[in-house]
Formats: sequence, structure tokens, C-alpha cells
Amino acid sequence: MWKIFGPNPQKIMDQLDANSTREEVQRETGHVIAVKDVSFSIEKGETFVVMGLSGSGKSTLVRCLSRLIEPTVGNFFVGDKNITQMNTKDLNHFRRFSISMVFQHFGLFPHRSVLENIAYGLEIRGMSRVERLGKAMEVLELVGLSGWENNLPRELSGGMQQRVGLARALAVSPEILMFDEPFSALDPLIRREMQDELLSIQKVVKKTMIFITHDFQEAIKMGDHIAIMKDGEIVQIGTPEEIVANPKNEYVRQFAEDVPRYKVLSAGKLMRQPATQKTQQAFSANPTFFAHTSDKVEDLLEMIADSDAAIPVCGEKGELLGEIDRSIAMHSMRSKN
Amino acid sequence: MQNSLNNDLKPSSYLFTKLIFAFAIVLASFYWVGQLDEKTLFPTSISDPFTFSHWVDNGETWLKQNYRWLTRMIASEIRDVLYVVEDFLMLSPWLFIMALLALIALAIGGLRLALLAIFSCLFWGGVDMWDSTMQTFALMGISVFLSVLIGLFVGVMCSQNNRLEAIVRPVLDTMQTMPSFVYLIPAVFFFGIGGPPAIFATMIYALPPVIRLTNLGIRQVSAESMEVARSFGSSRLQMLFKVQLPLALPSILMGINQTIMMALGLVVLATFIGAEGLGSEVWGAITRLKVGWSLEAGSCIVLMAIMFDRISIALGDTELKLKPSQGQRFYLLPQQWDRNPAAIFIETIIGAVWQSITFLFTLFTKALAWIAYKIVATFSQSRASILMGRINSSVFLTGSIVILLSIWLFDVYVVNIGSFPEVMQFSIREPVDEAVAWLVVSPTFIAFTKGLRAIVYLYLLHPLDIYLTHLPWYFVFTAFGLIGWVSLGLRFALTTVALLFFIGACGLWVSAMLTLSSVMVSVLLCVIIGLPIGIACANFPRLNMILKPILDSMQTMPSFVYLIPVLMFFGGNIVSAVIATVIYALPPVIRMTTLGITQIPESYTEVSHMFGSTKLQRLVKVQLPMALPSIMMGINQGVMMGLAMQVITPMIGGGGLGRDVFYSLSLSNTGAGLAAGTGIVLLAIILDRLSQAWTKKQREALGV
Repeated sequence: MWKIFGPNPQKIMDQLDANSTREEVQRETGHVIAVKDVSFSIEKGETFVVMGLSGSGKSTLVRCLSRLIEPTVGNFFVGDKNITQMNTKDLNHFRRFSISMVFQHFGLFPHRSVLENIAYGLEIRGMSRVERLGKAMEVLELVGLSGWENNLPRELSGGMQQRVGLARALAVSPEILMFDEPFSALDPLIRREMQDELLSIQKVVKKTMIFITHDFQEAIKMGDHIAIMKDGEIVQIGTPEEIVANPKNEYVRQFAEDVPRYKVLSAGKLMRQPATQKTQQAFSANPTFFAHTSDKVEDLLEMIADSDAAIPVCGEKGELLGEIDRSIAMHSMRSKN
Repeated sequence: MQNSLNNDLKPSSYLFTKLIFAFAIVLASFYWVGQLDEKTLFPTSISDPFTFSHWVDNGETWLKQNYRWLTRMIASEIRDVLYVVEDFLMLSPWLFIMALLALIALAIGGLRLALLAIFSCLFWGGVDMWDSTMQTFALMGISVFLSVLIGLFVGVMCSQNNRLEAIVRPVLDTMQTMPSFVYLIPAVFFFGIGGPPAIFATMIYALPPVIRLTNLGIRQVSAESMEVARSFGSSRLQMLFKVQLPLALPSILMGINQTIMMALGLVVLATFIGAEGLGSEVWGAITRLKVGWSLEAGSCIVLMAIMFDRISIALGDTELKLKPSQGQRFYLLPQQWDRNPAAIFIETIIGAVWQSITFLFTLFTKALAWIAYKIVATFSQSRASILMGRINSSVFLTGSIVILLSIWLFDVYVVNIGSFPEVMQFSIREPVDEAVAWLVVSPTFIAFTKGLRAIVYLYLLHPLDIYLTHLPWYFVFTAFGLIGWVSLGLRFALTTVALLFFIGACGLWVSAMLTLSSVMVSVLLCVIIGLPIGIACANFPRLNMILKPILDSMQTMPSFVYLIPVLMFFGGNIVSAVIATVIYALPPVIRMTTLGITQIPESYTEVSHMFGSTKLQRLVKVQLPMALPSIMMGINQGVMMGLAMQVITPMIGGGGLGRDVFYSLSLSNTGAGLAAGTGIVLLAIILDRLSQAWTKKQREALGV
């Protein structure tokens, strides 16, 4: 998918030299390439995080998906429907029923009460008043705002306002939920609370989520897959662990360095292979005492701390693959390699 | 650092040199012009073939021949509606109208506004102007209704279409600066005499603010709100009605408020084309030189203006107001008077009345709800309880309907209430007239007015008149062009010259110069009087508290109410015109001066305190320079109001373009009227742009 801003993007698109950088194009043509040849696929029910600094094109990218901004070139398929080719009527239908978005500055309508804000999407569909307010009440409860339904948005704190924003997006029960830096306008403590809450809601609703953030830690915490963007291009796509363990270039490494590796990396990634003789013996003596390859090091810390010997690490079938000890754990706590 | 300091210093010293230079030129030209005996005329070789007014007249004749049947038809439709509304207002018992107004005020603005409505009604009836007031009311109501209807539509269209907006915007600008009088002439031609042309002219004159603020309000809806609405799949219409219009509502209501105030200004003037109402009372008072009478009529207009103003502002206010069924205490008077026994007494009475009204409202509603419940319950239990809930939740509406109905029934079946009782009438005009009569013959007063007249005429108006009319036109062109160039750039300079050229080509050169001179003198006097008062107000809050309501009502008073006392005291001549203009244009100068000084952040005054400056030093070195942009804005408003006043002052001897407009109105001469009116508009545009550019520069320099 491509998005070029400027007076005549189509022409620029046709003439574009694939190797020229964003700065060169801007200098020569006055057009800004906001999204440059991005493609990815998202599994149903997963959380896909797009992470990048401001100006990296991440917001433009997701707006191109729902066509709040028209992409210059490219397609976006949901199932077998091509959203990019839809006419206005179909597009509005798609937006009303299949996708909804949570905005960075909440985007609550100041003239509507909390409940009417949540019911907005349903109202647009033409649902009757009684029905939509009833539905909105349910969602309001889900985000923990019961009792606030008749207040105006400005009477709520930032965190509560974003809960309303979340409720509004959930109320239409869409297939896809998009989040445009939903928590970056909140205080750190509230932000963490909201992240946890979104994770627990996600466990219940199991929606496909596209989540934008500029905060790498948040990306690691929320995402099943992460795409890191720079200058309109995707630098790397992968699971949080893959990215932290194998940053593709210096740019990604800089982000990864800030992350405590033990929180992201699993025993399988860090273990010493193969296990020493001593560990093999200990494992055969006590086959119930071991760690899985998929366990995060963070969750094993207690175990490692209490045991003087290395801990055996087993694969999915219970076969011994390696070992992890205090030295490895301590090293993983240092963020830089 | 050194370098930037030098750069900072340069412009101001440069400006100073320029000022001295300009002053020298003016002095020299003054001397030179003094030698000339004759007025310089715009070359007739240009102005003779340029018969603007003739073209307009031809166009009008053509329109008249071809479309008069249409306008006359519309006029008769409007007249029918007007008669229905007038009849309703004038034939209904006065108590009914008063209750209706008070209840509307109560619903929209709370108890305070309701009391204002009751007071206004009693005043209108009391000075025996009930019928005139109702006639003005009807004219106002219909023209504002039409203005809002059309304005909303056009405003919404403009907000959706950039090209349309680009076309409409300059039209609106011209419409708003055109003196209101000018609209009356074509109105008479197309719609005849009386109510319909008045409504038509008022509607057009008052249209711009609604269009402008509707468009602006919708365009100002944040991009984020729009994006949210789009992301949920709203169609264009859904977006308009569910997001844009509700969010633009405060702005739209502000537009309606401005429209109402402008409409009131013109409805009163429409007496010249035969519209009945308060305007005719004022006009009658002017022709008979009755100060008391005009004061009564003027006060009626002011009360009406205040009421409309407050109600339309309250509409946009989302704050909670005191209405029945909210058991709060009501404070009419300032709370610091709470210890005063008289204040306590008054408030207790109002409180008691209030309590009982609330109680009665609730009682009536409950009873009604119960009866309705019993009746409906015989066939549907569930509907009955819904109905009962509905009635019970609208205590106010039910109570109001009960009150209005009972007044009406009382009037029809028991006693005819009829018109306002004579017993309750009082007269302001007699004591005022007596006071005026006493004052006018007092020798000191005569000496004072004569002296003032002589000073203004001999030292200000006459020399400036001579100077400007004798100054060769190309000299004025060059001067304005240069000023325009310096303050706004070459493009504006060229526009200015073109606009002046138009004035000259229309054969209005001398008139325009006379207008310019009297506006300049008026504004100079405004500044001399207004600046000290404004400074005093800023320094003594108590004075400000007293002056503020006076200034407020001065600004809402229709401009020609001022003519009467001036005419009484100073007679009919050019100086009277200037004095009336000064009175009319004074409020914004005072107000903006006060505002400018009081708005200065505390920290600056603290700094000057810390350095031990005296009051005078603080005023001259800190407050005035910081308040300069605001003061300039006040002066700008003063200039605009002064120009607007030019159309009215001919009634008491004013000259210039205003007199041309006024006479063409009385001769029903559309072309000449429009030309002179346009002349005033063009002068207004030039002066407005110049002073605004200057204010903006000052503002930027101060970093405000």
C-alpha cells in the first residue's frame, strides 16, 4: 500500500524511482510519501501493533485501511472483500458494521452524553432509540463506567473519557478494532491500567485489533505481532520476542535496548544448548522440575533464584533441550547486549 | 545581541522620522490650501460620462417593469402574515401577552429574565406605547424569523461548498457595511409602502450574521469530530445533523443574536417608509422636538433590545437556570447587599411568590397527570403510566399552559381584560420636558452650548472641511495610497485609489470629503473624551460598575434616539451632527480602553510596582502602551459607528454623503442613494482596513 500527499500523487506514483528516498522525492517534487510500499497480513483475533515515531506514517497507514484517508495505491482485504475498491455506500456499510476506531484524543462528541456517545455508531445504523441505549448500557458496564451514563464527556477524567471511546468502538461489535495511539494522552499510571484492562477485555471479546503506538514497551505488551515503521516503510515485522531477540537493524536495536529482555524473551531463546551433563542427571532424577521453552524468563525468576543448579528447559513434548541458570538470567536483565 | 538590538531600534526611530515628515507635509499643504479660494472638483471629464446612479436607475426601471408583479405579490403575502401577527399581539389581552413573554423568558433564561420581561411589559403599557411596541414586535418577529430561516439555509450551503462561500463572502461584507438606510429605497420600489418593504429591507440587512456564523460554526467543528463521525460510517446528512449543526449551535445562536440586534435597529428606522411602531413614535418626537416623548419611546426600544438580547444569549447558554421544580433560592440583587434590610425584604417577597408558583405548578401538574392517568388507564394501563410520567416530568410546560389558558378563559368568559389599564399608566415625558424647558432657557447652559458649538466649528470642523474640500483630489489619492502602501502593501494601495476613484467618478467627491472631515472630528472628540473616562474606569472598579450598564444601553439604543436631545440643546446644524455622532460612537472607545487596561496581565503591573513607579508613570509607561491595540480597536469601532451615523445626522443638519443618501430617500431616487451609500461603504472599507492593519502590527509587535 502507498500513500503520497501532494497536488498530483498519481503522476508521482507512476514516475517514482523505487530507490529514491523520501527526502529526495520531497525535494524534487514537493510530494510527501507518507506510506511507502507497505504490506502485511493480520490473523483473525490477533492484536497487530504498528509501532513508529511521529511522522513515520503509522497513523496515515491505518487511516488508509478504513479509507479515512484514501490510499494512493494498494488494496486492503478483509476476508475476500476489497475495502479499497468499495463505493461510498458499501464503504459506509463496512464502517457501520465491521470496523471501528478508538482515537488518540478520544474524539468524544461534547454535545452528547456519555451514553449517547457510545450509542453513536448504532444510531448511525438506524437502530431504534430504546434498543441502542440498552446496548450502550451493556458496553458501558463492560468498561466499568456504570453511573456515568448521563454525564457529559467534559465532566470525566482523561482515563474515563478513553473508556467511553473504547466503549463506543466496542458497542457496534465490529470484526476489527483500530486504536490510534489510544493511551498516549493519558498519565503513565492510568495508561498501564487501561492497557491491562484492554488486554482483559480482549480475552473476552477476541477481536482482531490493529493498535498504533509510538511506545515500544506498549507495543511489546499489547501485540501478538509488531510492525516497526520508519519513514513510511516497515522496517521489521515479527512477534515481540523475535524483534527483541533479533533486531533487524540499528534502528530497531535502539528500541529493543530499552526493553528489559527477561520480560520479553522466553527460556527457549536464552537457554544454553545443549544441557550440561549435570543438568541431564538432575532432570532424569526429578523429571517434574523443569521449565518450558515458551516460559518467559520473568516468570522463571523465582525458580532460578531459589535453585543453585541450572534449571532444565524442555520443549513441547517434554524432551530436554537445554538449561537456564542464574548467569543467563542476570545477563538478560541488562538491557544492552 | 548587539546586532539584534540595533534592528529592534531601527523601525521605531524610522517611524518617528516618518511621522515628523508626514506632519510637516500636512502643515505645508494646509498653508498652501489656505491660499486657494475654490473647492477643487473631481475632473468632470471623468465624472460626467460615469453616470453610475443613472445605470442603477435604468436597471431598477427594467426590473420594475418586468418583475414588479412578483414583488407586489410577495408583498401582499407578507402583509397578510404581518396583519395576522399584529392582530394577535394587539388584540390579545395584555395580561396574556405579558404572561406569554414572561413564561418564554422563564423557560429560556430563568427567573431573572422573566422578571425583566414583566417589567418591560409594564413599562410599555405604562407609558402608553403598548400598541406601538406590539407593532414593532410583529415586524421584528417576522423579519428575524425569515432572516434566520434563509440565513441558516445559505450558511449551511456555504459550509458545504467552498466555491459558494467564496462568492457569498464579499457580498456579505458589503451588505454589512452598507448603511441600513440604503436598503429602504429599493424596498419601497419593489414592495410599496408600509410593513412588507420594512420586513424585506430588515431581512436583507440583518441576514449576514446568521449566514456568516452558521458557516463559521460548521467549519470550525474539529477535524477530529468529523473523522470520528466518518469512521463510524456517517453519511453526509447524518454528519451535518448529528455532529456539525449541534456543535455549531453556540456560534449559530450568536449569529441569531446579532441578527436580532441589527433587525431592531432597522425596524425602527423603517418608519420612514411607513412602517408603524416605536419608530414612528421617535420620529414624531423628533419632528415636534419633544425630548420626553422620544425618551419614552427610546426606553421602550432599549427594553425590547435588552430582552431580545438576553433571551437569545440565554438560548446558547447551557448553564443551569432557575426554573420551577428546582428548589433553589433565588438572588435578584448582588449578594453583598444581603445585610441590607430593604434587600432582604424584597428578596423574601420574591422568594415567597416563587415558592408558591413552584408549588402551584407542581400541584396542577400532579392533579392533571392523575386525571389523565385515570382516564387512559380505563383502556391501557401501560400507556397511562407512560403518559403520567411524561406529564409529571414537564411541570413547567403544563403549568405554563394552565396559566395561559386560564387568562384566556377569564378574558373570554368572565371579564374582558382588554388593553393596558389607564390607572397603571405613568408619564415620564412631562417631568423630562419640564426639566428640558428649564435647562434650555438657563443662560449658563445657553452660554455653554454656544461656546461648545463655536469651538468645535471654528477650530475643528470648519478648517478641516475647508482643508479637505480644497485639497486637490490627486493629493488625497496620493496620501491615501501612500498610507495604504506603508501599512498593507501595494495591492491595498491600488485598491484604495480605485475605491476613491469610484467615489470621485460618481460625482461625490466634495460630499465624501465633508463626511470624512466630520467623522474625523467626531472620532477625535470621542478619543479626547473617551480615553480619560476609559482610564478612570479601569482604575476605579466602582465607576466601571456604574458606567457599564449605561454604556450597554447606549449601544443598544437605536442611533437616532440621540438626535433629539442634541437637536434640543444645540439646534440643527453641522456641529449638532458631530455631537450626536460623538455620543453614539463613544461607548466602544471607552469600553475598549477599559478592557485593554484591565486585560494587562498582573505580572506587568507588579513589575512596575516593584520598581516604584508612580501611578502616572505606570499609566504612561506600561498600561497605555500595552493597551494600545485594544484602544485602537475601540477607535476603529468608533470610526465605523461614526460612518454609520452619517446617514442619520442629516435629520439635524449633517452634511456630506449622508445627506445625499437621505435626500435621495425622500426623493425615492435609488441610483443616487445607492451611489452615496456605496461611497460611505467604500470610505468605511478603506478606514477599517487601514486601522485594522495598524492594530495588527501593534499586536504582533507586543506579541499578544
